[in-house]
Amino acid sequence: MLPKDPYHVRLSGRGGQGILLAGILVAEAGMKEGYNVVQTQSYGPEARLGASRCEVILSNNEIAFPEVELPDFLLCLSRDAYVKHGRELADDGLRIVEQQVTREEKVNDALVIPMIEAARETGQEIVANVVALGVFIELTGAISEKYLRSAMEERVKPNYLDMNLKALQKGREIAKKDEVKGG
Amino acid sequence: MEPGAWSPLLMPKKGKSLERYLRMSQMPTLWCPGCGHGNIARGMLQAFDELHLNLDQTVVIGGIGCSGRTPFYSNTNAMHTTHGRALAFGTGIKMANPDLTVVATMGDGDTAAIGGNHFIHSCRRNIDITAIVFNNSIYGMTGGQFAPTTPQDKKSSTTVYGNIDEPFDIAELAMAAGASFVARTTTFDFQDTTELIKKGIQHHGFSVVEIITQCPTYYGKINKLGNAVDMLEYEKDMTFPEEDEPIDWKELSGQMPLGIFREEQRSEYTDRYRELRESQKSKTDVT
Amino acid sequence: MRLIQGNEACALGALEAGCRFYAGYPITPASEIMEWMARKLPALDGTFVQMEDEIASLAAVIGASWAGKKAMTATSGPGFSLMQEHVGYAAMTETPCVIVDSQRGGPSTGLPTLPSQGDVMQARWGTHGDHAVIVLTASSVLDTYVMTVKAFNLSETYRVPVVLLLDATISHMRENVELPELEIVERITEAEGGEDIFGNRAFFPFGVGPRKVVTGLAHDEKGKPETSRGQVGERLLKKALDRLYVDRDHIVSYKNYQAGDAKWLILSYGITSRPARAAVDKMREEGEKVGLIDLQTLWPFPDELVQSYSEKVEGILMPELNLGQLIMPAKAAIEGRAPVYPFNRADGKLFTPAEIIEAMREIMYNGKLDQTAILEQRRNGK
Ligand SMILES: Cc1ncc(C[n+]2csc(CCOP(=O)(O)OP(=O)(O)O)c2C)c(N)n1
Ligand code: SF4
Repeated sequence: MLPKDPYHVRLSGRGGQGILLAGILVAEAGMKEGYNVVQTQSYGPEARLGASRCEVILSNNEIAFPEVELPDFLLCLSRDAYVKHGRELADDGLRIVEQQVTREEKVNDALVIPMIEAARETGQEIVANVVALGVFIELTGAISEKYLRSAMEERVKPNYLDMNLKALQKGREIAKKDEVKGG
Repeated sequence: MEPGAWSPLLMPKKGKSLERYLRMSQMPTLWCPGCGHGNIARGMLQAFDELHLNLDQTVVIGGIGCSGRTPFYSNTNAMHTTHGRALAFGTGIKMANPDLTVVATMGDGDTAAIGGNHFIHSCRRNIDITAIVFNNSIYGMTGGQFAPTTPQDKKSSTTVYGNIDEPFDIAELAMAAGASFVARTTTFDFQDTTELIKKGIQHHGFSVVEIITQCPTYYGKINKLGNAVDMLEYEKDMTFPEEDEPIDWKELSGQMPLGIFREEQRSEYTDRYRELRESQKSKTDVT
Repeated sequence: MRLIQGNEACALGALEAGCRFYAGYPITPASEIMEWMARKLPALDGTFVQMEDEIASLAAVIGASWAGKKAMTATSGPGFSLMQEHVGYAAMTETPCVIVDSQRGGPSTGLPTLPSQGDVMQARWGTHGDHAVIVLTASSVLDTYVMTVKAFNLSETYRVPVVLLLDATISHMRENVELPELEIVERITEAEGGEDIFGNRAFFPFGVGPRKVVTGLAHDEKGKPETSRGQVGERLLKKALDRLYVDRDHIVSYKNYQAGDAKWLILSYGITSRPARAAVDKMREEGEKVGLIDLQTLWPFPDELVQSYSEKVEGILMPELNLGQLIMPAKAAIEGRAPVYPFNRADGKLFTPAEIIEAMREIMYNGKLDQTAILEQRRNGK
């Protein structure tokens, strides 16, 4: 169930962290869940070097405006992304920040979660995006794991699927731990 | 000399009538009396005749210029395109239907100035089109401005004090860009004109047949080269047949070699695409 | 149901419409259309060529159309500028072909990755001389699919170049869509209007029917150049334009969103219709009688449609991602029947629903609109 309708998701990170793929997976799974979805992204040099951003809107109704102004769910997977996109959030929105960011930045009003470390434990750092998706479904309940898995089966390369499915589980687990809440 | 006269070379008193190959509704041609473009057009039509081309399946395309008018006079399909771009249109025609025979008639301005990019890329792709380059060293249609082929020091309406530009040698340019058939002759050598165009059409790949031709109206007049007959003599003086030993293109000092400079079999563009298509038929999900 | 990107929807629509030839030159934000066609065409017996530039691309498309294939190219502003020479050639030679222009901020290299609606006038008048052309646009991924098919259908029906204007946002956005079954117009190659090559609905490619003469010079019905008697070329030009005028109802498409009983109207097109729709929803909730006409055909400009709405409303807001382009024919059609307020930006950003609501309320309650004041608020982070 969507915590709010329409539900605005903004995923941000560094180029190469798979932010776009994560957004597409959310959109695809959301569609399977029966929602209308719109997915947009920042594009060009911005997407390749510095902070990369991908947005998804989920709704039971038709979605008129395709951009996210104030996200209900905000993920910052890198320092640049936090600096650039970390500020805007809807009033009762949820802000998730990668723990490594706190080494260099003061992070307030956010759940700080070691997603990169969790990814490393699963296999490779590059699945931090999917760990984040595990966190996303665990904390928001916006889409069910079943549909996210099926979206991954379609969009993730077969060789990497196993590792990604594990990462999804891992994300759910670390999100459940009490200590991350309110971190 | 007034444009609009019949070109005697297209309708000779003696010799084989090429009437079947001429689009009579477009006669007379707009070429000036004595213009070499008629010689080349006749050579092209004679080549069509000798090759027994199916005229319904032949497309003659032209750029813009006196030379670019040739398609109108050829009783084939005709496409008079835009200045310099005949080969780009031709690439679309040939790729969409490789069964069509595509012959391009282009001026030296068409080829080497505004259409230089299309020219080198056609050479590179080695697409099966025959490009006949009507090289009169000048822009005829627009009234005698210099072209990228005008020799240094020569005059034109925009180089009244003599040309300071370095000219292109079109055959050399074609070879450098990868054309697989490159040949050159002059309107003085009429038999060669027909022969080389025939060879160019028969060659499977991109063929460049450059023909040095006379523009008595502008180039001849401004440079005091006399009438059309004098200019044919001048063409003879300015050129020499390629001997057996290789040409040192750097040492030509104004004289141009003639002959077939390159004739090699290389994989052709539409063939390569056809192979790619076949290889993908069973593999690609087309939904 | 599928999740697809705007550019992918465009390519899928083209293939569905029977497009079997693509020539193009890469450019953001249109490149995915080309990449998709390069991947899919070979197995469909189609042909893909990456040309040396956009001038050559449209030339190859026109050549391919005359060689019997439904053909297209796609580009963005800088490439569209280069194509203008051959938009004119396509119009002069009555060649069916489709040109997609995914608009980005301009002029020149401009804002390569950001959306714009700055090519609306160029799409109509970019090439020199009077000429017939149809220009369509789309405001969603689904509409992109539908309008691409429509572009081919109209191009084949009227033998005109058809331009489909997209923008950087639509091109790259993904939405869930159910692709509808659409009617496909096949090329007419029977001698309907005799064997005339021009001024005829039938289009005979090279190798079919009589041998053709095709030229960009003014010419008669057989293709014979007529450069001293200008009335001959004018006759064919008028015929091409008349065909579009007479069949305007068939060519014009638009979406009416709560405009039936509206007292205040938003007239928009393309991506701008999305925030406009959100604005209408919001204002309707508050009981304000606002409606939207989302134009999908920009040229020929649907002046009767716009005129009829202008008679019923008290004011019209025209938001555009340019500094005021489609408002010119709109004003000409409205002829003062209702006040028309321009709302413009060319900074690579979409209007937000809130901005449109604010603008609308200003004209509703104050009878005037200070655009800059509204747009500066967001720029200043308020
Ligand atoms: C885009 C464009 N620029 C300029 C012209 C004007 N123009 C027509 S023919 C021509 C040059 C013709 O010279 P060439 O190609 O050598 O052919 P020739 O007339 O000598 O046979 C020029 C500049 C044009 N038609 N189109
Ligand atoms: S090339 Fe020269 S001689 Fe020939 S038609 Fe043109 S102007 Fe006349």
